[in-house]
Amino acid sequence: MRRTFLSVIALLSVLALVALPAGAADPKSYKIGTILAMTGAGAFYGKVMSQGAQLAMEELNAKGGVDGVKFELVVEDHKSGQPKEAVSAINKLANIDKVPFILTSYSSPTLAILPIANEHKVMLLNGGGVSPKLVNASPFLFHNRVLANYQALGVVERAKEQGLKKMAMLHWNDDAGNGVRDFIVPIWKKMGGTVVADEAHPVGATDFTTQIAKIKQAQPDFVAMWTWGKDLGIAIKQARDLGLNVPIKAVDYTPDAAKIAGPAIEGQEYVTDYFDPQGQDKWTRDFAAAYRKKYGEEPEIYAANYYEGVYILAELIRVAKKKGGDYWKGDRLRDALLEIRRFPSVYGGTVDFQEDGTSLKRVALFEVKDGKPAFKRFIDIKK
Amino acid sequence: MDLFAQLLVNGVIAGSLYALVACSFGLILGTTGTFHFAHGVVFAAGAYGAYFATGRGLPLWAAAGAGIATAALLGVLIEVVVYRPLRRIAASPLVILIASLGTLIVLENAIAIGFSTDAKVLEGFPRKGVIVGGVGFTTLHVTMVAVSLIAFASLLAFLHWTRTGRAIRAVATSPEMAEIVGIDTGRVFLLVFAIGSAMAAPAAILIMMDRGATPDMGMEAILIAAIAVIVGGIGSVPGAALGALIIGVAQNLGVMKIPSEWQAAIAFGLLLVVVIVRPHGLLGKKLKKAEI
Repeated sequence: MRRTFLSVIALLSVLALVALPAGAADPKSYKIGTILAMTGAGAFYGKVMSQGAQLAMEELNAKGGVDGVKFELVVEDHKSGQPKEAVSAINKLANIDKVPFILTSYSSPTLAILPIANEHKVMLLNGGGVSPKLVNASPFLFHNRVLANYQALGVVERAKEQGLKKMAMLHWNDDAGNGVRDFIVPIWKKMGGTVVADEAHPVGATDFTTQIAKIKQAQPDFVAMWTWGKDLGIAIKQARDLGLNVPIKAVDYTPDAAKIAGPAIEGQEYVTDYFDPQGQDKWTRDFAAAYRKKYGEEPEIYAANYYEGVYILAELIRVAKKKGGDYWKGDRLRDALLEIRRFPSVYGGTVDFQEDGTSLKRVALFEVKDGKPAFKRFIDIKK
Repeated sequence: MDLFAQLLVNGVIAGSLYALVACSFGLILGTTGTFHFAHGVVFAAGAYGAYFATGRGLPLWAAAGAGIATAALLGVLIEVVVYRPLRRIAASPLVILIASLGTLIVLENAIAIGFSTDAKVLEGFPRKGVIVGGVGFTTLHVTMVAVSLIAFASLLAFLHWTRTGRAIRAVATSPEMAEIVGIDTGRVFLLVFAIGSAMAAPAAILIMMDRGATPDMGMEAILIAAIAVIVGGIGSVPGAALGALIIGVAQNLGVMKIPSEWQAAIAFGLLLVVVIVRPHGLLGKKLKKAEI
């Protein structure tokens, strides 16, 4: 009898040991997955995004990571927006590297990886893709980039303010471009505007002369371009070449596009996330200085977003870890995010996450002057 | 009417760039029988060669020359290192095609490592917008058409009026027969790769001036070129030029009434129609029935 009792005790204590939350079990390192446009037409994005994340990781690691556990970056490539490449990337990240957290980019690839992220409970943080379709798309998907519907709203409000009526659109033929079009057209019509041309082009196209000829024929008051990266620069340049001289409004600016467009981009107005590398906020200044030192170039919003993303992750880890248990899991990190909600932003101010996965950050109207963005004013998106 | 004229001009400009790549690709395919996919990266190397040269302080025209030389050299190198050994062991056309595709991918990534993947622009061309009767284009566009015409005319003149050119045509007609009459086919192949590669480079250099270039620029170019060559008829240089021009114009005029995202579909639709209706292409020689 006594022997049975003892063995029951022994068994229970073994069970207890096994079942105890493995709180002490930190991973060897915090492996962060990234799925970016490392090659192809959008390679500029992949370059600056990975540089931003890399810099944040090195800064955190230099301070000992989180409680001595360091970060590690695994970079995968969706070849500038190809959904099938993104799917093979997440399969590798989830099954081989077993990462619970991925920094993703672009709209179509991000939408494509959602089922796999849900299945493996991988938390996704997107700092690049802007399609309105990304809103509420998965319980694991969050954005530290303001989605383009807010930015497009800023564009049409600005157009209305200037008394422009006839809008022509040139947009990416994908979830981002078509998504913005579907979102903004009814709003613009309700505001009293008309749409005189709607031309799509494949992501990464280099010849827009056909689309521009058709837009010019339609005689718009202004052209809204829901197109990103170097595509935007080429489109602006070719528009001016063909004598399309109405205002062009956009929701993006990259130094890459400015380089290609040359003088044609002067005076171009656009609405996007507010990030000013010359900003007065201390974190902004420190980041910009460190970035310049390491890469010899000026940071822009994409580098800033992915830099910020890694810092947000570090905060999530700290909070999740306090609760004990196996915290290095996508659902635990997600719960931590929904609990904290508000994080400091490298733009200055805060980034406030919403229930639907989107976030509110500073958005502003810019104008290109001497090839560089010049801040005009903030756009209020919190209404 | 304005729109029609503008789209026609756009089509001719696009077509003349396609023609440079298509003629050079067609010359290599017609003479050596090699489906030279890696021509795409030779094309890109032309642009990056010129970019490298301007970075070393060369003036634009000299840099363009350096780019053309880079492309010619790379084309010859690929023939010697990749295709020749494969032909020696009588590799099937499929094997050569795959090796070519592999070469394209490896070299494209090598360029990406060397120059990084963001867009590079060649500066310094006196570029000016011109609007004539409601049709807009630039001085660079005029240069594109002119360069294409000159290259095409000189290639034809060379092939028809010089001894070496005739030797190339002899090899294209029948390599065995050409060897019997004492033509060194190995040397002719090298020459064809050099000429073909040099001819593709100006298109890439002009594109780099116009809209910037990325290392993967060759893939799209080579796809269009392959379609143009098949549409025009394999083995015919004028056919390749005609095919390229037709694709350029059709891509532009075809979307006058329909949304412009159908441009790529137009090129492939054209290919489909030609392959069904006229499988030997517009100017190609009629395929012989199998004989024993």
